[in-house]
Amino acid sequence: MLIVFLVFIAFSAKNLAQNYPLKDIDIDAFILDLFNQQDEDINYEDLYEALFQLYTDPLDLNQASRDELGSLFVLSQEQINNLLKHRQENGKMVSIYELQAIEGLDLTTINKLLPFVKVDNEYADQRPLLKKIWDEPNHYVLLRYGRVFGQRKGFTAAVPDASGDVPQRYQGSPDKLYLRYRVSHPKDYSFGFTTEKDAGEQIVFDNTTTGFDFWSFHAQIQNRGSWKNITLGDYQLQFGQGLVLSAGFAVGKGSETINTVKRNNLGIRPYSSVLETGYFRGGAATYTWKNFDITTFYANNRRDANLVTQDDTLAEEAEDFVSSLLIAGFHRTPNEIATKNRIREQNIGGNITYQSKNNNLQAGITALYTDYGISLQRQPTVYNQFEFRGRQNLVLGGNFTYIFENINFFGELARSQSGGLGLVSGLVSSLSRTVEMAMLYRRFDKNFHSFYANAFGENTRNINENGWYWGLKYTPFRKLVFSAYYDKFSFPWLKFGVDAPSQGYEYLFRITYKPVKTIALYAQYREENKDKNQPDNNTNIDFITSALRRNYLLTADFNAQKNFFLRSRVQWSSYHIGSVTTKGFAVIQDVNFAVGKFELSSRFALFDTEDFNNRQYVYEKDVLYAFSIPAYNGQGLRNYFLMQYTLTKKIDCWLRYSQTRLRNAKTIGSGLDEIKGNTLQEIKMQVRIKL
Amino acid sequence: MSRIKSYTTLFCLFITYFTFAGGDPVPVGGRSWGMANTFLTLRDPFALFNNPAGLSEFTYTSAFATFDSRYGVSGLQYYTAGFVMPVRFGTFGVGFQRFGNELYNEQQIGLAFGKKIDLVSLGAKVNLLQIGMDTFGAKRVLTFEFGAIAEIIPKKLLLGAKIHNLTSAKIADYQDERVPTVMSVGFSFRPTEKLMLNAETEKDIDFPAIIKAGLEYEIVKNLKLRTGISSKPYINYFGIGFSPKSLQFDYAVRTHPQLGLSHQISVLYRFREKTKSQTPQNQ
Repeated sequence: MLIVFLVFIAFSAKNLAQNYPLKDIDIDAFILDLFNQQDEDINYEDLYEALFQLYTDPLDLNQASRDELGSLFVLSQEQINNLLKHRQENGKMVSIYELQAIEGLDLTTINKLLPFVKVDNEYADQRPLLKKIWDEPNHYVLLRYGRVFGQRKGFTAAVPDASGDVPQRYQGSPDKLYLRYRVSHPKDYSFGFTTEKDAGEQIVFDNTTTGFDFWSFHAQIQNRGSWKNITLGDYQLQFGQGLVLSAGFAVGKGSETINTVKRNNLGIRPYSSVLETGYFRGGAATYTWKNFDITTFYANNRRDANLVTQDDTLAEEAEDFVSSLLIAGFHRTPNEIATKNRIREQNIGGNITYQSKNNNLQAGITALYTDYGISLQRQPTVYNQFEFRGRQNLVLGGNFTYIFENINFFGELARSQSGGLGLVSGLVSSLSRTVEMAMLYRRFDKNFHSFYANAFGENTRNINENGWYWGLKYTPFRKLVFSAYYDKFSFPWLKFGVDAPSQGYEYLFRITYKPVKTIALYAQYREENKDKNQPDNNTNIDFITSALRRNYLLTADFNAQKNFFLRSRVQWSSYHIGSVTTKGFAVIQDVNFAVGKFELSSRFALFDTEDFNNRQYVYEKDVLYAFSIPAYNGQGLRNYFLMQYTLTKKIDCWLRYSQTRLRNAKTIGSGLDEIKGNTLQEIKMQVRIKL
Repeated sequence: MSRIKSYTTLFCLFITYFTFAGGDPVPVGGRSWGMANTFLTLRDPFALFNNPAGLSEFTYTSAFATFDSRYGVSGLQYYTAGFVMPVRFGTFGVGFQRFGNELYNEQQIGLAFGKKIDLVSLGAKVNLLQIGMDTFGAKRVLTFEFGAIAEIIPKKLLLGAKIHNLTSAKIADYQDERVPTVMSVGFSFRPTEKLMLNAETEKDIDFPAIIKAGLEYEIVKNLKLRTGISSKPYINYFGIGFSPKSLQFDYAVRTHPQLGLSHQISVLYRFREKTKSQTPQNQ
């Protein structure tokens, strides 16, 4: 557009002399590195929002435990060992620059680490809580507004169809509103609340909704004597390898082949995301006694569910039951609103973790008891025969982590009340200065029922899966990294869309070359083979056949001058099932630069995919704390412009405009989100005020 | 007889791979065509049409003209003329391009600006495109281009990118006919001053992606040989360039598997050089 041309001319004038460093670029590049392959039809934005919570609280390097350092996915086992050794031998770190003195921490790693850590060398702050809060720099309010232009079908007038039925429509306005308040200090306290209304949801006050559709709040204090952590409100728990309790950071297989394999014992974490399921609402506390950390918790959540009421009250034992639990959190149409907060789920449990004096051994036992208050009876199909049915569930698990020389062994074994077992075990090791390796074996019985589990696996849930994973990383020089993994898995029972026990494999190979600090080049190849039902099968029995997917990626990042950034990316894929092969392609160009108080990010992308199987997921830069990983599907263009402006030292604003334009299409989107025409435009505005 | 020839031209337009909806980005210069149009990282005055970011680092003002004939069919010719002038804060270029004959023609006039900042060059161009057809009249539309070149290893490894028709300029409502949007990304590897190896990918929104590879070698001073290949359609390119004093002549020939030979010839004149040396500043 003309604007780009004019901005470019303005930019080429002398303003460039101001070396205004680009913020958040490292976080973006890091997330891009970490989560490079997506192909499941999951809402990735939500997943990354859950992970990003981890990053809104910078870790204090002087107090961080091994688990907490591991949870950043940046440091290798050897680097963590060296950091802890340095702390032990030299006492508390004085400043962040001391990181350079630690053996094995090169400048690249330090730069990756910087956004997520800080060094707090003040004496323990003994002032009253309110005074501390008033002075705390990490204290803000964030407001966000989003809107899609072009009328989605859900917002049009409902016209009765041929049989006289009136189709469902969204009840609320197309605006998306979000408000977040947070004040926190690592290892000391955290308070906050979040509220959100999705597009199509109403603002009402009734017995299920207080104004906005979703509210979340928490209050946490830490390190008060023997009480390590007391949290009220919304929280998540992460223990062991996540077979019983996992805080939902599903960092599975991806470009980072080593550091994401082992989960970390993080205990109680406050919840401030807007994912409407996957958290506990109640209270939790951790008490430290000698070498033991004892955690207990209780939660009482209202859940969205499809409640089936039995009309015939004369029939014996006619009980209402739930046919399915809903996790999307949308309450836009009358049907969706009718499922809101229908049942009360209660959870109670605890964990005891033992840490040996020399920190080499960590062992724990976790128990979780869940009561839905009403029986969950899924509609029976062939593939869900062994899934959970009933009202209550109990899961018990034991986990360990043992460090021997340069090898970190870990494992967790859990059993659910059905008798099903779940097992995860493996090791992560720095075999030499240049080679790192990770290995993991997992086995989840077809009747292993653990609702809050998120251990390593191929499936999104830990059930019905066996597999071996092997990951390697070789760094011959600081500038060159080779990473690869090979995962072989099998599913002993049927799955949705796979009507027989099946198996598959996946492998990835990636080269990262950074000739200088400002340039990064990546090449990646991934191949995945999984069995699926044969498409267009016309026999009585469904036969399975293998579906082969190949993804190729080439990226070049160029960070000239600290306030100018270029990224060129080409990715393509092929999908082969039966005798049919389809392809997809996307070429993406990003230009980001900073001028004075402005920061502008823009993208121009062109994509061409033959079918939905070849959709190209591409990470997009979005306003702070929001994530955008849309799937480019069809034939068309995508661009966005994101502008960030620092109004004052305490106020930042963002404005984002994005557009998808399809070629040869009469509509864009599907279902009630369908828009007539071939263009989808969206605008987002955000303001953050530091208090 | 000439009517038949003219209609043959029109017919050829529909079977030729390169020209379709009009306003396609057509590279110019025997140098580019000799290397299978792996032009993204080339810094010479022809970059006015090829990649506006290439309009940078010039110390001379120049003018050029090119002629391209395809498959021996009249009416499928391209003529271009361009004028490039460096100023204090960058380089400007003005160019004119014409294709076709009185039955069907495309004319384009464009203004480009390029600038080098440290290791990155950026360029942008605005074009006024006119498509005219006998008895149908003419249609005018504005298009924009944007390009970038980054020196990853200065003078040895370069990365180039270009977007043609950022705004999806519309030609007609019928069948949503638009000027094609094309994105290209590519590398250039120059191990020595005499040798250049390029590889690029180009994606037109309406067609599958094309991969191109090209090579240029200076066998003796001021004499360069070029060759290249591109995929689908599989075409071989050959070129030769000769630059005596202030002039530069480039000739390229290419072979299309079904349609035969096409030729491009270009002439470039450098007005004055600010540096003492007489060697051309092309990179």
